[in-house]
Amino acid sequence: MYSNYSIDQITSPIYEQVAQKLLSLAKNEEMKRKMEGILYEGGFDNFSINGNFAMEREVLFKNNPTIEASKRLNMAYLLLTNPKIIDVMQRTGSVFFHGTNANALPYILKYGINSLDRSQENNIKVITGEEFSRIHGKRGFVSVTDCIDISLTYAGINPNSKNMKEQLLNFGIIAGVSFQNMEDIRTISINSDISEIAVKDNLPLEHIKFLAVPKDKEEFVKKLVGEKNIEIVGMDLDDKFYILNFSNKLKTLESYREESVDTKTTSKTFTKEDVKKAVETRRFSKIKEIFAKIKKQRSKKNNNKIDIAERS
Amino acid sequence: MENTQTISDISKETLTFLAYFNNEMINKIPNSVIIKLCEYASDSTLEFFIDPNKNFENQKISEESKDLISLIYYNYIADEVEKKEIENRWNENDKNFEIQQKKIYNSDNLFENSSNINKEYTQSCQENSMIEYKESLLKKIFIKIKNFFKI
Repeated sequence: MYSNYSIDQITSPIYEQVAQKLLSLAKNEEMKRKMEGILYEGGFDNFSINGNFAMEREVLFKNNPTIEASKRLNMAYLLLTNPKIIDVMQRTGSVFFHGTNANALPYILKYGINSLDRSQENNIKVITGEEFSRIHGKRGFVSVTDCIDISLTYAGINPNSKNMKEQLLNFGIIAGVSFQNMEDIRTISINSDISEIAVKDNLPLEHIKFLAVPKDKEEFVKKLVGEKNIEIVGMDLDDKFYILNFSNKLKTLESYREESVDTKTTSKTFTKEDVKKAVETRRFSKIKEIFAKIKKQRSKKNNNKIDIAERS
Repeated sequence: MENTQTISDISKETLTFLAYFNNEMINKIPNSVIIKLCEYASDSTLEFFIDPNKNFENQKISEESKDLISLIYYNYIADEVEKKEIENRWNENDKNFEIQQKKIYNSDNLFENSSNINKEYTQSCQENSMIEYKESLLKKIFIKIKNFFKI
């Protein structure tokens, strides 16, 4: 059994309509089988959209049939549009999500995900999702959720964001989180009306199993991540399907076209000609200066490494 | 755009804009360069964003980041012909900058300007010399009436 809820508790006429439409769009029999599992049982093979471990059960207390129904439709749609994500979720047990902005990525790849309070203690200015949801005083935890629609609302700034005064841009990311090894994790109780877990202070990097990024950012983020054990998968983070009500989900599916999903990109790309124009305005003396600055930084870091090695 | 000085901030700003290069350019940059920039950027406390309405040349980027991006472009993205063109432009820009600087800070120009200022000053003094005040007839009559009645 993959879920605490039976199909009778989940289903409704509109749920059934959306489910049937999703199944009709399945690319092959194997995908259809998995979608049926998600929609009617909450999982397939050894994979449950609610997870199998103690941590995941914490969110079940906040679960209810409506949330469960929405989760199943969203996961079935995710399988339809991004089967790679479902595949990595199944392999790594990462059924939780944390949405953030690409500005956080260099820090996350070194230190893991910090709580808002921990970030601000380290003088990291935070203007993305976590700050919007600070209501009273402290926010010494990292929020992870098993509802992808919630993580998408936290996933950065896009040109359509109504929260930003200026329509500035840096792409959002969804970190896929697994709690298969929980020794270093502490949770705290929070009074929240959404399905989330609060991880105390810091979520270490080893719990992040994948990063979902806009498809045209896949190559770049793969380079950033390097040899770390984190998979990079492309996803349309602006896809409204996940946050729509069931009726509008159905309408969206009725005009669904596979090619339009595959070609979605972030709205801005700099071309070579564009960049070259700016490059040609520089001065050789200034280029030498920045080169020297970087070289100095590298030798400083190497000296620190030598000091640390000598001390130890 | 914030005034970026540290290598951490420059690296993070550079990465932000590199992320929006097309894949053809990104694929030419070695992974080791991106990883190194990411390492430096991890200690930056600033956040950076792209203006989707502007091309690259008109984005708000610090001068240091522009230089670093240009260095990366020159080293990894430009082909041999382009490299030559870029080198020539950079050298030319340096020369033009020096010529401009010389014009501004040339001591001969300082004195030349000074004598011009003197001429202008003398001229304006002459124009603004004491204006003779001539009372109107009506006012003269009014004053006489005042004096007569000792008002």
